[in-house]
Amino acid sequence: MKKISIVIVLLHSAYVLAVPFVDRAPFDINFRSHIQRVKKHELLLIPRFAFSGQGRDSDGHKVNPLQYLQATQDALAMLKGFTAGSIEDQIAQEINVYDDDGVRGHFVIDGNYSFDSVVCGYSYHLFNEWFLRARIPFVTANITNTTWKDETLNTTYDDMLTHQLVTDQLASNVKTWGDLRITDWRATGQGDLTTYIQWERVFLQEKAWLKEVAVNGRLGMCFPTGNRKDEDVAFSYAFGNDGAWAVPFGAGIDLKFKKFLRVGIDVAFEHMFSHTKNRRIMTDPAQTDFLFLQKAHARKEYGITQMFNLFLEPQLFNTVTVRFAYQHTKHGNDRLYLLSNDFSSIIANKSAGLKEWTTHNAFIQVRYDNDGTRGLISPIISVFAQVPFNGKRSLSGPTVGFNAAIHF
Amino acid sequence: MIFPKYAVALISISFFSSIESHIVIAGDSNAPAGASFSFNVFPSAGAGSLVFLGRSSATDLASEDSIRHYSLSAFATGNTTFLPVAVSKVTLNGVLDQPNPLIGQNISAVGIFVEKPVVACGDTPSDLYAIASALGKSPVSVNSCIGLKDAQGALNSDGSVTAGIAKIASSGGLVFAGVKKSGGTLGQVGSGIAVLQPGLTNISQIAAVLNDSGIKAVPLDGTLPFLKIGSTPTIDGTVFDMFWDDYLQRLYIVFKSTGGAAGTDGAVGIAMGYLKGVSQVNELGKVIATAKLVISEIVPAVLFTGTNTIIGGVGSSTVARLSKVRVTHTTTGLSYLIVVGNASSTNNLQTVYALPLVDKKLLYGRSTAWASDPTHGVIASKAITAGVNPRTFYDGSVTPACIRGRAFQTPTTATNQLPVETDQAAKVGAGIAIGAIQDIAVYKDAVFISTIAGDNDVAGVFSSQALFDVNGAIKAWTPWQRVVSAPDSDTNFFGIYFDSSQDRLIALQGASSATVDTVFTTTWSPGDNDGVLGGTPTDASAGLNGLLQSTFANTGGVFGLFDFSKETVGFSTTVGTRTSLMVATGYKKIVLVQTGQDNGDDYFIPQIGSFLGTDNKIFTGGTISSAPTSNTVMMTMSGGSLDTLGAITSAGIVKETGNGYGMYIVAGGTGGLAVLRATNGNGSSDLQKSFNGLNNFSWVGLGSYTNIRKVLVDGQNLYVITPTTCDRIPLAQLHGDALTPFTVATPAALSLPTYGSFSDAVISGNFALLATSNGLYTTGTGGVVATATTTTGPLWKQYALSEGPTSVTRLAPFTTTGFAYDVAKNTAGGQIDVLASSVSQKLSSLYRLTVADATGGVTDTTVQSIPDGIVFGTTGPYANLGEYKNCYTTDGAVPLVTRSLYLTSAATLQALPRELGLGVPLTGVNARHTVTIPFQNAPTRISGIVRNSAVGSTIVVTDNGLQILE
Repeated sequence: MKKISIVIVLLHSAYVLAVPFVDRAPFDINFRSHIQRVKKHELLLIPRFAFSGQGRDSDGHKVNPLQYLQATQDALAMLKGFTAGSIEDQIAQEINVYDDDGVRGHFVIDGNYSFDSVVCGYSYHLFNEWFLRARIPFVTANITNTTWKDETLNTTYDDMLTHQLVTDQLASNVKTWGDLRITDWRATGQGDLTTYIQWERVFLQEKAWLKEVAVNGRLGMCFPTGNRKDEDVAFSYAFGNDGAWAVPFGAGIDLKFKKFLRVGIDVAFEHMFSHTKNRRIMTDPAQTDFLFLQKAHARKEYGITQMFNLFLEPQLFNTVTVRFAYQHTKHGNDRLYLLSNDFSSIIANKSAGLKEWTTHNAFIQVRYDNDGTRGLISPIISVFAQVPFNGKRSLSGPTVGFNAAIHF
Repeated sequence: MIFPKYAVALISISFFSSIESHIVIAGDSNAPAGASFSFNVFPSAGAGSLVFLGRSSATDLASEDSIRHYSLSAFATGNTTFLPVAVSKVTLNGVLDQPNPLIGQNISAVGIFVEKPVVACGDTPSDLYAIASALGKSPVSVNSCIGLKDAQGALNSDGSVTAGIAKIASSGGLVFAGVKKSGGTLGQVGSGIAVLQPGLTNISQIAAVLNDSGIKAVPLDGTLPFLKIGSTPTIDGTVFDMFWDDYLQRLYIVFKSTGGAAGTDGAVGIAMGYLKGVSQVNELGKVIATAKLVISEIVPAVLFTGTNTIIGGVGSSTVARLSKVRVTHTTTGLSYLIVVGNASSTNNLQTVYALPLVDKKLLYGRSTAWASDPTHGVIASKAITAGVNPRTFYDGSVTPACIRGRAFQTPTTATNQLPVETDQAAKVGAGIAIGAIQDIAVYKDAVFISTIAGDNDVAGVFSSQALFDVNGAIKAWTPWQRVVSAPDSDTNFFGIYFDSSQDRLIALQGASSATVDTVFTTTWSPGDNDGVLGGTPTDASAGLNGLLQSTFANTGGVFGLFDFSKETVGFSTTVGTRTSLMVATGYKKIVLVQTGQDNGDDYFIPQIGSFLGTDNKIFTGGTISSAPTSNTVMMTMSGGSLDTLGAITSAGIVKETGNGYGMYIVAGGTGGLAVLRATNGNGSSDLQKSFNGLNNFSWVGLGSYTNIRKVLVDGQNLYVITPTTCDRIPLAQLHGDALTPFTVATPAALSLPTYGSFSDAVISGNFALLATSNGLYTTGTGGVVATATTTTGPLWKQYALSEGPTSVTRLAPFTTTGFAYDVAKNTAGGQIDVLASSVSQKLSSLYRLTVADATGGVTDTTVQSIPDGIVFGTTGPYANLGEYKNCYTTDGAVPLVTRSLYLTSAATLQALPRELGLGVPLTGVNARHTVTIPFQNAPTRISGIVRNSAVGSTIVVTDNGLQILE
């Protein structure tokens, strides 16, 4: 029988769904311990810092973080789809233009996006190849220095009315008409608590090159403990699944060649259960996602999240490795089901924020791991950097961080 | 065979040629530049998208076949060339490869039978030829009937060979030919209507007389009892027309009839025919079903007592001269007979009348007995009885009951039920045409005429649109509006055909009816190089379109284009000095364009081709600082008070008469109101051609307005409409330095919701209709707008519209004078079409309202809905238009709607489906029949549709130039 060791990494995609700027560190295969079976407990800490936040639009182009869903926000389209006699309806009617020349009522928004987090984790070795793990992130996110540049010209009658009625005081107008705040946003809080059971096993190989085959599988539950999206703040997002429960699961395999190289592949999925709450909804297909004036009770059915990892890890010394990884995440279309007949579910589901998004990242990590064989307390320490290079409808940016874990 | 090659060429051109405006349709290769043919043409017939044209020049035995093939030509709308139909070799009466009897022939009459031509030749006038093969098919099949029989002959014997065929018409299965008496004329005893039955390889005359097996024509002459009042009238067959109406299944025949000299004698100028199915035994002894033509009265002759009853009259030597006849079926579901001429000998070459027709198809339900009911198709009583005459029919088998149709039910049985010349409902064009009418075309609510030049106006094609009452009956007509204009007094128009798919016309042009050699079609395009509004054939930039584009380049284009006809109050009416204008507005800039003026021969000539007058003016200080001259076509003004106006949205022309201050041009924009006037505050004396009277005039800002959406005039007041106010300004205030307007409506006074606003208005004396973001508001009973000093004066009340968006965006008034301010005047009042469009809900519907004369005071019934809709009990929209539309207009034939660019959906100009009418929802297949008229220069914004009254062009105003139908 080959000796088997198990490594489990479980994707936690709570941030992924709510915040396209992904911090998957605690559950990322790239932050796993190799073999820690000799110890009963693990404490984990992964601080992570993002800078130069940027967005990827639907075509994959690099854009300002606040333009990742639309290049411009349309303040005339936001008035559409409302009942006759409503304020929005009457304002739209006063301007009385249905045309969209690409500039009237349009705003180009810019801003800075920063995101820092620290993930705290605990693992308990149940027995044999079975482990119980729990993770909770703490996040601080800032969208600052936001500017709304009005593209509306000052030429036509419609331009003038648009200025006077809508765009010249957009912030106060949307606050009045839709109780929506479109200024800077800052928030600090915890994310969703995730616990999971993992099974991991290493099959020792007696081949000339291949020495180990490690496989893992995991299944867990994500508790909606995280800060939720403030529906009245345009740039707000949830630090978790926004109140939805989720089941993450996944599996992976990695191979060790001689004593100096590991390669691996891992796939992870998360199924989120639908969740009902008051949400901002699109009431007209022309609307843009930061200017939804209408809220409605809506059940959200989430698309599945998939994360794929490939890595190559040369071992420099016995306890020091360098990892090069490629990471791809894809989240399927979400769907809204409005719990009233006042608005159209079909239109609500045209929101760009509900559409599929993807990320592509390159990852490098230098890690010290004593493999759990020395002393009562075994530390793992790593420093890492992650660089996004593609994606669509996602926020991204280079991140750096370190990973500290002790096993005892 | 040569024919297929031509067919291929025609098809190729139709697919690949670019569309240009006002296209001269190309005919034979010898045609001189600017003409269609190298010979003369005139006899013609059209149906749907096809027009067939015959050679009127003498028979050509000498030219190349390629020229002679065009002696009979076909034109399908959308193409740019004629297809020669008279090819060299044909299948004649089923025999292959025979010489074509039509090649090179002088054609004396043309008709259409199931989209194929039926003709008679001048050299063999008693023979009739029918093309039996479909257009473009090879070989061409020609069937002939040699020697049509007249109406002479004893019972059960054949008639004599006619002296000639005067006119051809057809039903779906039979051909009708007006035939002269052998050796005589049409109208003499012995003349009549021959009936022919086309087959695959033959066409033969049938025994059409009831109870007579002889092959002969059905008599049509003055001895017929229903044409005879007193002594036998004389029918002059040189004035003769026939029209078969497929819906009513009736043949209408008009002619000139002259009554006897006695005061009790009279004449009737019309008869009606219908087919009666009978069984008869043929020569083989078999019983067969056949049709007989019955010619009968359209109104009892005894009802005529005077000469003003249009189709017939009583009096010494009464002449009932009816030269053209058509039937139109209005969008309200009613049928009307349209005739040119009258029985009073007054302007009978220049008058068109509409008379209601009884329609019993709906009454009989599934039975076809209506077909032989002699009262079906006759003139209906003009006396309107709601629910009875006309009557709306419903299908009660479904809930709610759907409208099946509407029809007049009561035949005329009393003299006072007969339409008379002075009836506004009968008077198409609300008056006489400018010259003798040459041809007529009808479609739905519109009548088109072509005329030769009048005393002071050049020839043209004109249209008039029916105005409806609360029962859906016609109550009046709009005045003749020019659709096409001759460039000079020597050019005239003869045959015309209307292509409903894109609101286009095909017209035959020549100096006289004997010298027609040019056929053209109007087409939508920017008009580049078309010689009308699109510049000269070599310089498009010199045209109105090109010059306006360059003038307003980089400032958002033209925002508004307003037409002021030569009849505008404030313009000179003295022949020799008349003028007409268009005013184009943009960002801080106004262009005054002279669109027509009297020439030295006192003919009013439209400005076409080049608008680059050698003395065009550009004034940048807001003042006309140098006198315009006879070479000034355009004056571009900016600066001064125009700078404060910002985006100029509206312009109007008013004439102050109380103090004699004269004529003012007024403009409104986002920054306020300005008036063009002299330094002493006076306006101009009646404006004469070449802008004579405007020298040293300056734009002067008045009041403190912002966001002016529209300025209106009613002869006494100027009204200023902004989103939040409707102000009345007595015209005398335009003379002073300050305004003290009377606010007659505000959103708050109308209890509109928060942010409620005004979008449009129509004001006529006491009456007003306000379009608001939350519905339509009208003057209440006893309310007065013209003298109101507060918002309570008009006694505003909401006018409810059902089954459509609440928001009303555009009002389109139609009146008997052509001026919006007459919509509640002139006895009949007018009609207002209402475009209700919701930006937020992305919906749009079209309503039609009838407005009564309110000069005696506004009542509860001053404004009412025209009974459109599709179900019982609900007066709904005339049309549900789907997504938001921003502009609308109609000429009565084809409603046009527009929408600006919306995201990735291009700006559109659409002609509503031909199915649009009473009881027809614009959904499913019907909606898909909406015709999108392409823009050659894709615009972002469409800001209006306007007709140039001088030249007749319909203009869609966009930020990327003009899209023009001309």
